[in-house]
Amino acid sequence: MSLEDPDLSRRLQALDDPPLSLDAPAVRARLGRRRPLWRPLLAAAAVLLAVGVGVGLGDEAGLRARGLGAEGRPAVRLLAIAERDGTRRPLADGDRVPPEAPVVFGLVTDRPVRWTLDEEGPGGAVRVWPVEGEARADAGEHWVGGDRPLAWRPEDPSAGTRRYVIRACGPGADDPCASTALHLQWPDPDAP
Amino acid sequence: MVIPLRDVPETAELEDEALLAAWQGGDDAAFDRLWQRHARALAGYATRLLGDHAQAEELVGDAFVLLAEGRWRPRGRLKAWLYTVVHRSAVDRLRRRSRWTRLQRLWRPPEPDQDPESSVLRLARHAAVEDALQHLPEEHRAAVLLFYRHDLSAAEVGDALSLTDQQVRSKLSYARRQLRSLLDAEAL
Repeated sequence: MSLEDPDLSRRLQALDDPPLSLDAPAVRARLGRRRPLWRPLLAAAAVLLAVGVGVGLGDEAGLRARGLGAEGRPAVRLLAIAERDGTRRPLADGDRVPPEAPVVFGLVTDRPVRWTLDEEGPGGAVRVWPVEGEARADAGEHWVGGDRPLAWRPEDPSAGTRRYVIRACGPGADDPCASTALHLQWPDPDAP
Repeated sequence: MVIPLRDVPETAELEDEALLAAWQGGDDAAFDRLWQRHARALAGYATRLLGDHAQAEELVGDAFVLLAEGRWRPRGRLKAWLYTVVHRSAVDRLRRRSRWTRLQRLWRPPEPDQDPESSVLRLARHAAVEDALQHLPEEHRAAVLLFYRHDLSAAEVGDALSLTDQQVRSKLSYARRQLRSLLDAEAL
């Protein structure tokens, strides 16, 4: 059985690939940037310090933001929206997630950051985003999944409150970090 | 006499493996040329699997770092190895993010043509093909892209996807039928 299909090949090869924002010198630079072991450890200690000290009271949007933007830390806000029937509703700290509504997370930052988003619930903490490593974002507003937003559902489908914590650090290994959190109440998936 | 790569015309077709050897000999331009030759297509492939261009770029950057670290062994084509590394990383990410669902399907539009009419038609055709690809199961989509778009052989596709030759043929055959059916329905 021949696998050749010139028409399909032509159609697939005519597709466009999106342009790259990454270039070869940037990748080569990663090779020359092998850090000594103590630098990641220092960075981890800075994150722990930021988590222990920086998480505090909610601001007017219900988002925890104490210490953000101070002492060189990035000013970041965690965003969450629920989408239902084509409309988007911002979720504030303590809000109930409407049944069946996909929830999309995002952040606003005043400077370039490396960031992660974790979910803390009855079953422990799980990484929400990125799937591995750290995400990077320039100053501005960003949504998980970019142009094609991704909606999150907790792995444990039981009803209850879960805490979402975003940790953002400047791009350098030793740059200061900040943290903000948001609580969401998930509905019982089996409720009528 | 060894000629530094920067003095070799851009149009010169050096094998990937020769470029890698030149880079390992200290010529950064050889690495850059390898990147220019493959990175965008690799990122396009990963984007079609992951649906996320930023993550796709990360995977491609990681694959080139592995290449630069000497992970490639000359048991096959370097290009096929790059696709294998990117494919496996993408599948790994897909599995771990199974708690995510896409809200919508969007694709960054390509640069417009000079001729608006042909540009619109081309976009419509491309959108139909992209949409049809997204209807295929992940492994079938990967197989059809690697074989028909990125010119990997059936054996190389099998290596990348950890499939036997018979399984590759079966998936390609199914994917072709599905794509044909979806594209015929679009009548483009």
